[in-house]
Amino acid sequence: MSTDAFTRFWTDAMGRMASAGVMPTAAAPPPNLMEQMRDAFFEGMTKHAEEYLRSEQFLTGMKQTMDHALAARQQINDFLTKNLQAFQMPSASDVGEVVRVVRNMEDRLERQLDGMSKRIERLEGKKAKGERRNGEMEKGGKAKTLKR
Amino acid sequence: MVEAATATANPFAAGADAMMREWQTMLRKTLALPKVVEAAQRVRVGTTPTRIVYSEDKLRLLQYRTEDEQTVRTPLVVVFALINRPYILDLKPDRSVVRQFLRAGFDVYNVDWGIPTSGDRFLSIEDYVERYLDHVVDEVRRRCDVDSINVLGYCMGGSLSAMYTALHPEKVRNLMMLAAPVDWSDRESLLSVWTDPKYFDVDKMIDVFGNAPAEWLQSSFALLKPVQNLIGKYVNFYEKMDDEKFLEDFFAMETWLNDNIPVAGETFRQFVKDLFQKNLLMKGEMEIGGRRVDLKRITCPILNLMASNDHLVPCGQSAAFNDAVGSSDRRAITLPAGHIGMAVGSKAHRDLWPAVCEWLKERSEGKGRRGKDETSKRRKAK
Repeated sequence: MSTDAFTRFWTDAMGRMASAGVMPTAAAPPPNLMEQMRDAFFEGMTKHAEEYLRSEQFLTGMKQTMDHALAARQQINDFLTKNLQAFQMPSASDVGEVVRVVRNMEDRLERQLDGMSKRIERLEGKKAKGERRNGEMEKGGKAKTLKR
Repeated sequence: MVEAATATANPFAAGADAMMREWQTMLRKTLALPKVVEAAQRVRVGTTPTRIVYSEDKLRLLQYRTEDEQTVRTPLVVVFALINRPYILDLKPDRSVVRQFLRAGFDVYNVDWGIPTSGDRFLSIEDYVERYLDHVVDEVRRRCDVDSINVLGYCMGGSLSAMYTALHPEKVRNLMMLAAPVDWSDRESLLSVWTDPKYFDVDKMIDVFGNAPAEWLQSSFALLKPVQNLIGKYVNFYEKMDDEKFLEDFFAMETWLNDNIPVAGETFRQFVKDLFQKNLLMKGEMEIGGRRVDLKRITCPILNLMASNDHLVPCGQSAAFNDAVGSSDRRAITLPAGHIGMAVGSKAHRDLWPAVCEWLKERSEGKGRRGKDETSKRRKAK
């Protein structure tokens, strides 16, 4: 937080606390005066924290921190992968590759199964049509025989 | 009386009184410490008994067991977010959304997505919607012998439920959205600001970590309200630590809040890029498994439940849903509560959930009789 931002926050929070303290007009201060002042301070802090978390300053800082953390993590990953490979042991990236291969295989199988079920549906449709036609022909034949 | 008047008139006496009171309070709290430890050890969450009726990979479908009479034929499936665990809807017996539905006569199921490990990093939204959720819905339809079911989607689970309903409208009879985001066009939520592509490279993150780490998600959520989450909460705890009921609620809530789970990398990447950054669902440009997700295809009754103090999913991210769907029977209810308060708040349990149960009951099929549409559909199928 820059000096300006901090001064703004501090002045606002202190203002809120002071007004929380002077609000009651009864002869005696209310027993929860301190609580009211604390709540007012928290309210001020909340408002300024929200502003700060939306600020360009915070977002740029967040990006830089993330970039550094990811770079460090990538280095650790690379180091582990190299060492595990040296010991002929599987690393996380190897596991990832295996999962990718399995998923691709699953996709291919699913596509083939879909194709097969479509073909079966078509064949069943044709069969049902044929059966209906045969039935109709049989009915027609019987009717003819009866007529004769 | 004379003493009291003197005490208020004399500022030093008032100060001494206040100091004495404070001292007594501190003593009372110190004496309450063993109770705090006991309450922390005793905490139980997800109290309604369940049984697993279906499982696939890490997913488990839980059916809640109850002695309440089931009077509603159409079952209810609760679809929770991929972040955190689903027992928030059944946190404690007196704060259980699940029990509200059970008491109303529903057969209730909950989808527990399980905890993704590094092998699940390639699970995408398509896997969750078109595979897992579809299989769960089919299983419940088969078990209950119904054509369509009721769905309650919470938070991210609501977004997934909306996608599912748009792709399979015939399988969902009523859709309830609870604090569920669908429109990411505004920047009210801090999450929308933080996921701006200018500052957040989700590709890089998922390439390095595989899954979105639970600790990272948890700290991001805590940072959404830093004063309340990192200071206010503990101040409040100190003030009420001698109240057993408060301790019970506090530890139950903390157990859930700290029970974060990672999100499958590919799903997280899609959520951030397609939804947070490009708002594809609302634009009608989102595709799942090669099919366009058109919210206008949702024609079933809709109940959209929103929380006016929700910092995670502001009302603006949910409200647009009712205008985006093709349903004619749609209703929105906004409660003055927070994101979690909708599920565990006493006000929600007193005012909201009984009304929600009533709304759903009116639109569901009663036990022992079939709706006209259902009977005719079955006849046709036969």
